[in-house]
Amino acid sequence: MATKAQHSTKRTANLTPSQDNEKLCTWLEQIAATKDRQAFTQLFDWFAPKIKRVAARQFSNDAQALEVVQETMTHIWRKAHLFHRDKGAATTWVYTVMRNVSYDMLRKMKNQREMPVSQDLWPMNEPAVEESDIYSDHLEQSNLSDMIKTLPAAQQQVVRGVYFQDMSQEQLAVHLNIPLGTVKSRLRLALNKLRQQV
Amino acid sequence: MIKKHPKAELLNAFVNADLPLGLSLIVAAHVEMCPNCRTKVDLMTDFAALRAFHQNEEQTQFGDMANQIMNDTSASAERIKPEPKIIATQQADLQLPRALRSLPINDWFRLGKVSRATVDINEDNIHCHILKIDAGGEVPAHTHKGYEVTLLLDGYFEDEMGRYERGDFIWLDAEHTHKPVSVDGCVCLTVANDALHFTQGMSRLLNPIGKLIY
Repeated sequence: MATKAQHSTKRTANLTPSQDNEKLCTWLEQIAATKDRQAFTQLFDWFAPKIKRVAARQFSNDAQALEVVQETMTHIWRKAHLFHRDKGAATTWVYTVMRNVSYDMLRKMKNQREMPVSQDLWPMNEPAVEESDIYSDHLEQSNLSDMIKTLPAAQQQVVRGVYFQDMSQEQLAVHLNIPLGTVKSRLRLALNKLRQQV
Repeated sequence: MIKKHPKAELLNAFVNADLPLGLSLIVAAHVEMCPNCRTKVDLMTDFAALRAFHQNEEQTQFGDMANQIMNDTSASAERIKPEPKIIATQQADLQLPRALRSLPINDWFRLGKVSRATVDINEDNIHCHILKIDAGGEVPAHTHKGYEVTLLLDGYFEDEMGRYERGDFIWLDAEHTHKPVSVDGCVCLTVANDALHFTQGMSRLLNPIGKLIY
């Protein structure tokens, strides 16, 4: 597990999300704990242009794409306490917020009276008390490990590195002393296999 | 034990919000019931997020947006968290999937041992129902012009292809003909994009039930 928090303040222009996860998580936690404005400003600079690009593909005009950015980032500013790093990557949480905001906006454009349903379809990290009563959570947690155990050892290494140790593919290549292309192909094979399982 | 699951392709489209509402909600309801598919959806969401955010952008100008967001003290439009919906069955009360919480469900309409309530998803060609089959009830043999997706919410039923249990996600189309029978009764969520087509000789007599299920 990567535990060293990076409080870097410089622009993060050329890092990939997996390399940045530690930093993004820390910013989210600082926002949740103390409404840290500097952390939010950095998080905003990192995500806003990316969200804008994704939204621009779904919404025809610039104002709507900006509205997706504003709504998504507002939700993050106000609801950062709902993010938990042990439940998934920071990019995944922000993606979920962005996807849900866009989905409800698109439905609303089609028909003013539409109720927002995105949170019912794709629940975010909310305390899910009722659900855990009905469906066994330990089953879910053991499941991914079980699935990963069925992979060949070389693929397991790569999947564990990327998912549980937050390593970038480049870092893994150095760490395992194998070419980057091999890391990529093992990861691709592993994911194909995981997706076909069940 | 859930045996029938949505295909990976469908789960991916669900993650990317590319499905019409009717299909989104029946997939969401299955995912809520199925730990395996939840794991897959989590993985796919990780990848969708990496795809969405991996590129570095030219720094776009957002003016003062970050400060506006932080300075905005107006109360957020808190969404009232909808209550779980509960329906009565022959055996006990049944809590409906979370995906149905915010959608209106119309009155029950009953024909023999089969009753149906429409979920109002307001889409032109796609219909979504909750279907209750009482013990010993059956639906006459039929095929589908489009697709018919069934998610078993409670109980079990059988047809020519096998036995389905709670959580099974059954996708049928024009290639399939089936005649579901439920010995002990069951409750299903169904989504279909075209009328059922009865394959036995009495289709005219059976029309009401075709309409009922569609």
